[in-house]
Amino acid sequence: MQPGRSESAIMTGAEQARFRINRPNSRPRTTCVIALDERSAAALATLKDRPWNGAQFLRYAGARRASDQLPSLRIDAVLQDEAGNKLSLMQALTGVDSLIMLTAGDAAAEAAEMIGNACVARGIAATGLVLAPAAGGEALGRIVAAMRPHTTMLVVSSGEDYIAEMLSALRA
Amino acid sequence: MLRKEQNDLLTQTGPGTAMGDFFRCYWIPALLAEELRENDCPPVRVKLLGERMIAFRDSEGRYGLIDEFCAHRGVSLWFGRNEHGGIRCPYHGWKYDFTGQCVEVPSEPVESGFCQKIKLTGYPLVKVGDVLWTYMGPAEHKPPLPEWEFARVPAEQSFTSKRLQECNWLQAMEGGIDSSHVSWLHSGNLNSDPLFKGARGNQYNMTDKRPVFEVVDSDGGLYIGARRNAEEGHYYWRITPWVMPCFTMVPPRGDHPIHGHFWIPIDDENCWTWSFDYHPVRALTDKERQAMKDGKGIHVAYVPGTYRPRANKDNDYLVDREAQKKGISYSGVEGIAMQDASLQESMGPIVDRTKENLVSTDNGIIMARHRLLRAAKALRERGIRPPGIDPVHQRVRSAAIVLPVDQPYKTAASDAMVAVPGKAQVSV
Repeated sequence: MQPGRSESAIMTGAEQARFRINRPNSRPRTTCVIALDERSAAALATLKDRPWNGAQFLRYAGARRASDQLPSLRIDAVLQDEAGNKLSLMQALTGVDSLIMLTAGDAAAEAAEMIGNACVARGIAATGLVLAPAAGGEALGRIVAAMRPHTTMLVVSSGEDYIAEMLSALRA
Repeated sequence: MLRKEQNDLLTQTGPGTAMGDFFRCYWIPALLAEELRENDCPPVRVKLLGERMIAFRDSEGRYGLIDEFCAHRGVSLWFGRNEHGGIRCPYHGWKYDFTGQCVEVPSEPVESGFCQKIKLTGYPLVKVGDVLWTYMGPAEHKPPLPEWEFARVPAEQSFTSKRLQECNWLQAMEGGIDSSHVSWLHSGNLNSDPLFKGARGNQYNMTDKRPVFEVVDSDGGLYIGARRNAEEGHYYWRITPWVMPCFTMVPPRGDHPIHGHFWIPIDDENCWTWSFDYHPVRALTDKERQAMKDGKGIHVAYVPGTYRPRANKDNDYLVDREAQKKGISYSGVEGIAMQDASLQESMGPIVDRTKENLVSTDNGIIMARHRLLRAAKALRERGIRPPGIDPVHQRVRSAAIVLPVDQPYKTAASDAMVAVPGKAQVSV
């Protein structure tokens, strides 16, 4: 330590920066991205060939009902991967650290509720990314209202280019 | 995280850089008006966006912001004599007017017209409110003067300060849009700071410590809404506007003045944090003004004779471990401003964002970076002038409001987020 200089003054300088530990400070996290409608699925499809850190890209295909007699009792969601393979929401959430729901329409309310509830039950942070519709206004208001109860972070973006930017920033 | 090239692009603001060109599209705060208090007062050194300049106020009250160094032998004009309508280099008497035009070279015959061939770089310097603003971009793109409400209300309704922050502008500004740190770092101040305490909204903050965030694009930048549970069927929203490139406002509390910041690069490792408080419809009380001068709220106490905070890196920010232990302050540093600055400076002069691990609640920061990168690229590649220049983008306010759970704040609180002269802020 140099006499007369505080620890903060010394340690925040460029000279000391070279002693910062330069090994990875995190392990890869598993991010699951689910497109809830056609437009968001199309936007997601354009990203699948980029290099990601294990992010899974899925789309919501529908709800699995308890039985034909109990159609309103939804017990799971059916998802679809890029190759068209079907899997259940419960399977998809296994080992997931962070989940992102992507939507551009208010038809996504049912899916958001099912996925959001499943995330709450498993302690998974659920983020909603809303691609603002060209119409904006009321349509956007309905989408945001549908997503709000089921996400811990909600983002409204006017550009699809934000999807990749956000995923990259989150190390997805 | 950001890739290194993205981090470099956003953090470098010197001449010729992408972000430097970007900042040079705007009127930015350069000095407090009090720094050039009277005609022919001593000149002041100013460094902005990596350029060293001298500011002075001539005999006719005109403000000049020109290259710091005399064109003759490179002497600093900080030693200059500010007299008779210009600043004169004390070495050989070369004299410059407020535009940087050389008006006298005593050694040369007047008839030679030599002095007309000498001109230092000069930028406009204009007083709006308590602030002297400059525009450092091409003259043909000079935008309209700033319309920020804090600078446009009557003087008795507003108070502005600035402080040196010893780190890159971006990591300082990101603190202003990172609302999730408030419940931690500033948790000790809500009920004690004279400029915050007593608001009903504080109760919502204290009872729901896990806010949920919504980030929405705006024409000028972003709105960041933090919601907490309020009465049955309602949310308490705190809405922070961010306007490009570096303006934010803190949501208000009760009838306290509204406050906000600019973060202006000095160079790539230092910035000025500008802090303002104003009330849209009433004069600040003597008590409020005194509290601001004493460094309460978002302001700081200074090292006498400077704009450097009294608590700074050279004295370890006067950290008080006992106060930290007792919960008087969460980090041991006193005051909201220095609680922020001490942590932001601890990251180093320019934080390495390739190593960070952002989480979903950091989307305000991610989105702001994205908007900046996109706008800087559009300016560089297609010459598109960025958001935030249009005076309409500057007429914004923060808001604190209780809304029914099904209402989106961007539309339900849209009136509250627009600055209208003579209309009170929406605050809880």
